[in-house]
Amino acid sequence: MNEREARAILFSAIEGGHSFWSAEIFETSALIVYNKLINGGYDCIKHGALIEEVKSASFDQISTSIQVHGAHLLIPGDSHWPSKVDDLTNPPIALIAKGNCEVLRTDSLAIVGTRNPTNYGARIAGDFAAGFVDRQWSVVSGGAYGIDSFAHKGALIAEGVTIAIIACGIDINYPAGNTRLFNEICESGALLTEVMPGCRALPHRFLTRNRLIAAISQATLVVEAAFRSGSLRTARDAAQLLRPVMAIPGPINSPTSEGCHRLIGERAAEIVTSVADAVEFIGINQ
Amino acid sequence: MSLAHTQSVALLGLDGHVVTVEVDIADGLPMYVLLGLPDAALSESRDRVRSAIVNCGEKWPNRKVTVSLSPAWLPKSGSSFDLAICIALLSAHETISAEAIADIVFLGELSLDGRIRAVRGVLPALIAAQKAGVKTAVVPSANYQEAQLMQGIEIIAMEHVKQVLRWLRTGEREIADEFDLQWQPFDDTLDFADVAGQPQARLAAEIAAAGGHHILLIGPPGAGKTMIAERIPTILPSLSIAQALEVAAVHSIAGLFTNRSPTSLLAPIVSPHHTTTRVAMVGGGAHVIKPGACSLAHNGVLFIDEAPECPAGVLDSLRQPLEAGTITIARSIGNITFPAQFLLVLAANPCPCGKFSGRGRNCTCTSQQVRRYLGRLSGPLMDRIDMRVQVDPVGRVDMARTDLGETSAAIRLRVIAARSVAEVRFADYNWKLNSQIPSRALRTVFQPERAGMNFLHDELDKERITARGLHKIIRVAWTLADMHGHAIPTLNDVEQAHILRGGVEL
Repeated sequence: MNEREARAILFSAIEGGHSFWSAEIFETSALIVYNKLINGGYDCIKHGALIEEVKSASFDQISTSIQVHGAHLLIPGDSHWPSKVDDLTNPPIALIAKGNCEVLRTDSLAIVGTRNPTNYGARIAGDFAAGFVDRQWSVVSGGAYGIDSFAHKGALIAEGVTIAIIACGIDINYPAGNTRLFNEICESGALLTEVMPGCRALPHRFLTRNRLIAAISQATLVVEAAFRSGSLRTARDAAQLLRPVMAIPGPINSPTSEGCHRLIGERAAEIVTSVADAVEFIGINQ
Repeated sequence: MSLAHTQSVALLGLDGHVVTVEVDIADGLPMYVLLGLPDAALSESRDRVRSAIVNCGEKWPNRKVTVSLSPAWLPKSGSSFDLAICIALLSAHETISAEAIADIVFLGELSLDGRIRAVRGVLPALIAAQKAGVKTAVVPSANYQEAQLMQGIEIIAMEHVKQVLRWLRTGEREIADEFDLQWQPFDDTLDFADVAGQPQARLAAEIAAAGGHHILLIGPPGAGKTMIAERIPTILPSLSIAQALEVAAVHSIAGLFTNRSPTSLLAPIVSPHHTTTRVAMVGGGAHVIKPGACSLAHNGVLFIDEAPECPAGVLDSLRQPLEAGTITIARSIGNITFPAQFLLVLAANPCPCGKFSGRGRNCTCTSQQVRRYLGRLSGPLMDRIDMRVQVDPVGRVDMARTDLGETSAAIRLRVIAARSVAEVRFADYNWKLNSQIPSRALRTVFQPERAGMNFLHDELDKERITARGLHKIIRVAWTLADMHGHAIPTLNDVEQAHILRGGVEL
């Protein structure tokens, strides 16, 4: 049993974003936590199910289940490990990546927003993605419908690199309508996830996924978001990590710009009105 | 002589067939046989005719009566043969001269006391009769107004069988008052001046009227979508007499002159409810095939409010008429074609609860519900929509305004001017409106100016529009050019058309 095998086993047994185990593994090492878990170093009653699962898991099985989908398991210390995610209070134990893993360490901008954009938002998302790609940045988003899709597409049309961090297993194309988009992303960029293959896209996974989007990128841009929106979560996660957060203003009578205006009003995000603005703002904050 | 014949008309959709009604009275046990594929309403004519004859003081022949409606293979339905059967029967009974009735078409249902009641489809029946060379037709008084639209055929309106008999026996008849055949071009109860504000929706309505472009209005309840849609007929040019006849014929078949005067030159508007069925939308029925909403809106406007609430398939059934301008209904009795050239106006709320506009904080729909709502309008249908227009709630300033907006009459003048420019341009082609330019002609002859084309190609390269979208934009740009007096669409026209199209295609 080495560190990699221990990581893989713990990764497969523990749901992403668990603050206790994340911190435990981050402070010591996966191997130590693994041994401690097997040898009854933790509360055997409270963690009974987990211990059982860890005991019965085999690295080979986990490894094949990942490789069968053409994906790779990444752990901290790997040359392609996106080290910026270690800034999180609950960093991922490991990640599964598909496509071109080299892009994970490049400078990147996260573009997030509503699934129901207006034409305005759709256009801005694409334009900003293309603008940043032109400046050799990659574009990170969540692979969902709406702003996410337009950001990915904008980057691809500008022949740039884009990374989709998805909330389900690498083998599940969620949403199914974006299957082709995911395939295109994999050709130059990468798909990244924090859960094992076969895991469904459940609501809580979107929130834990959002923190990764915020952490993996230098800066986060909210294009359009409703008053209540997952994109605002991503923005707040990014702000907690002291990453620059930007928001695009919209008409004050547009429901899909309410979230952006809320962030700007709360001084949680900087208002940006052009790609040049955004580049300058990120430059000052680095 | 115990044999006589006269004429009536059977309708299959809008197509009328002149039917010979023959009656033979022979010796034998008293009985009554009706031949020629009658339906239930027609089979019951025996009892109506019998009572009417007896109550008019005539004698019912207590012998074997055979009534034959030929051509025999043609299925016949409805009560409009009553009068013809009654007259032919009395003639066979030798109370009227057989020559007098042989070349006359009789239409009308009988009541038991001998009065002649109104029937559906008098106008298309008369059109068919005229084509067949009939010179004289007797129609119910109640249908006289509609019947008078027919020129070149003598129309005699009768209220009672007794009047008909007196006329046939003595040649005397009361001349029914001629109805005022003033075409009523415009109805001034609805006017665009009533609409407060809404500059973009007004513009879209004007473009739709000028170029025949279908539109989708999206906006919260109460923003004025219905108000705008209902007023689109008032800015359309008035119908030509030929168009008005087509409209009146369809309405005549449907028996719908209660909501529309047959002499109106105003383009019709039909607004089926969103719970409507496919048959009500495109027409159909088992025995009597009736035109649907899309045919009643022929030469006018088909307005569907709350379009996403329509059951799946109802809106898609409009795809054929949108493409062909006609709707063909296939039933066991044959294929029936109704005209269906209409301007489609769809209206939709932004989400199921309708509140996803403005600040949107009262909206109770989930993100997925919002996304799926407009997604219920199928892609192929949306492809045929040239403009998608956001209708925002009326603002404070527009509400406070005391001066009225532009009147329909003023807008209509511009629409007519734009249409006539297009008509001159398309003189050598077989279409009249910009929305009808085929895509081949768009690529070869009807291109906008260079800068506009470059703009569109740029959008195409960025995958913001599709090739089909590009064609739609050029068509709307042509209408804008006609309205602005440009010889060919400028960059500005193209950009404006692009915005109206809804910019990015999702």
